[in-house]
Amino acid sequence: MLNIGIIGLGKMGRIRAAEIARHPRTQLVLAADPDPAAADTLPGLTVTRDWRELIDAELDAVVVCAPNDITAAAVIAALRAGRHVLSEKPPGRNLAEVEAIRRAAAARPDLKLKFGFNHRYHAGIREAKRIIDAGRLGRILWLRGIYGKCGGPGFEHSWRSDRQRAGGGILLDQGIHMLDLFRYFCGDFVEVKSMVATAHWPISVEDNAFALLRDPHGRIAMLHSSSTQWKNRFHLEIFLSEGYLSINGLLTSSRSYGDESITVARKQFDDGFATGKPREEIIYFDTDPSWELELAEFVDCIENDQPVRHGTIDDALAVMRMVYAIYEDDGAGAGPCRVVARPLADQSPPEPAHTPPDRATR
Amino acid sequence: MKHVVVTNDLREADIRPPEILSEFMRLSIAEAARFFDDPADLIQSDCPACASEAHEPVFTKHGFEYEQCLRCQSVFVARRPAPERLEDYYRNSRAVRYRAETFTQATGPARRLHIQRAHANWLGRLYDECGGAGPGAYADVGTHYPMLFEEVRGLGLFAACHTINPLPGLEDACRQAGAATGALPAPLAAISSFEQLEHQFSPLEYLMDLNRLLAPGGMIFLTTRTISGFDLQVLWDQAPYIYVPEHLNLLSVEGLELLFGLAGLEVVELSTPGQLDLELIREAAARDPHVRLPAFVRYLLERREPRTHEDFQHFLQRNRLSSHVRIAAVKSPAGEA
Repeated sequence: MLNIGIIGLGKMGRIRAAEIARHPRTQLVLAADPDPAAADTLPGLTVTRDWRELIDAELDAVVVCAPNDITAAAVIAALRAGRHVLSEKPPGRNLAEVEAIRRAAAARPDLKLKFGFNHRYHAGIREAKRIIDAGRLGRILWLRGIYGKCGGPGFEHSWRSDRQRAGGGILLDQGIHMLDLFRYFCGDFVEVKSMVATAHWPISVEDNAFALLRDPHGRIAMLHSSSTQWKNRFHLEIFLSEGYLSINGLLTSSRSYGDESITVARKQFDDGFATGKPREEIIYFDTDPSWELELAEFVDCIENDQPVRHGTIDDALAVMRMVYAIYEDDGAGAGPCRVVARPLADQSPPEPAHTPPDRATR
Repeated sequence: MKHVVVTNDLREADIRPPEILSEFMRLSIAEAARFFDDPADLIQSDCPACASEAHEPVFTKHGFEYEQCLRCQSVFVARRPAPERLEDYYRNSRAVRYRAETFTQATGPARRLHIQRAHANWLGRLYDECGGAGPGAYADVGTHYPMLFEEVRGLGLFAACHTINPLPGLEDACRQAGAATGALPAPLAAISSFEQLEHQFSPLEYLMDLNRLLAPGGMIFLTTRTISGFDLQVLWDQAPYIYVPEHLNLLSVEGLELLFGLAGLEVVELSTPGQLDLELIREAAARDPHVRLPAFVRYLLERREPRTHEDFQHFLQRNRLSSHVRIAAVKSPAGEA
């Protein structure tokens, strides 16, 4: 039985805690959260206010579900204390933090470090991976991903909207999942074109990011990550030489991203079919196994001393490089987002777009 | 468990041309009266899906009484022809000969395009995911359309293809399409059974027989007609395309789940990807002025546009309420029948 401590009892922490309780070989023995009310969410569990106290406790593994400004410090401290670590994404606020985690992990090769890119375990994504790997739809030509949420009341006051605490905006918070999926299907990308904007929310980070990425084989992936998508949306299309896949919706606890399905179709040029209107099969899934599978893999890696398969430190670093390449191509990476948000109540016409000098010459 | 919705420009007439279907139905009904005329050859059956003894008569068609299971809602012919009489029918009746010589020939190309290819793709995708018997042999039971084997061979999944009990007269066509007709190499990696379950004397014994042919981790792919489907629920005894012996078993979605469990098979997909429920109701009403439709259905068919019908059909599929059902199942570890 693995004794696990969890840092952060927000939404993600509670989801992880429930999975730890369900898994037959894990038990949650301690949690840390600065909010005194957090203890009420898990009656009977000891909850400390300071995450450093948790690191010092007798634990086999630590699950980090803290705000981004704590993630890197907590992961590094846990590794140094000899704990296996499962950490939420993003793996840090910036590349320097993730590099520091990598150094800490390299010093403890006996420990398992895994980051929570749980979308790889969603049923629709797993189905897509199987279909692509089987090869019957040919080779990937291009991908197009949209991942957006509506922000919501108080979004502008969330730590996620504070550059100091979060490191970046919606791209780093949510778009990073889509970038990880692009890598999952295609491998690394080598070229990035992007535009990043703070279009609506009065926040110090971006609320929209648009990017085009190209891999060494010339395959292009297109991303739109948004926190002004007033109806939550997850949509990933993968077009191949002989057909296509389209993953729509994402099963979540709130069901706000809709039912999760994958549309599968073959390119159809036969007589008897209208061109451009092939037979489609839309597969619906009843359950989201992602949290369970992700934890199961983590436990399996620890118990059987297997290398982490998904969400490795290399995966984390690679996807963070993509995030920062998108910021930097737009010129938004080094400091506060360049497009200044207007107050919510401001109905006046927008200011002419400011074009940074370095962008004008590109 | 997953389930599937299909979009396709499939029309009933493409796969069941009206004149040919009418003749086949006429022959089937006439031959049923000839082959099954001795009441002594009829055997009483409990629910063929869940084995419940609680069932009651619901309607009579061509002299055969259909009953409904009070547990799973399946509808079935309670006094049904004995297995040997059914075997005689499927070997020697004029209806079966007409099906092989005329029906299959006339609809083969359209069925290959719209149905056999889709079956093969379905089989390939699910076997990739759930099949645990490696690249062994595949067999289709009761083959009606030999071109299926060309489509399945194109998957490159299986070492060999076999046909079991093809329609009489289609053996050569099966061999030409790449399927062996001789002894089976046991055990099999995958078995398909398209539109066969509905006319089995005992669906449970049928599935258990197929299960015994499978290797551990092997898979069964099956289609049949379900009483849970909208067209059958609306038309009920007025459905012109329900007759003995083709439709001894109209199992409900719930009954099918129970049946597969009893046979030691783990269902990994149960979908009703039918596309023709509304069209079948419309055709039935158009051909027979005595067919009575609920006011809503009549309004839907007569006053609403094709787009609405398409959306409605999608709703039926999405909620497992179309009458064409497909099931993929794996031989479970403890599932030796």
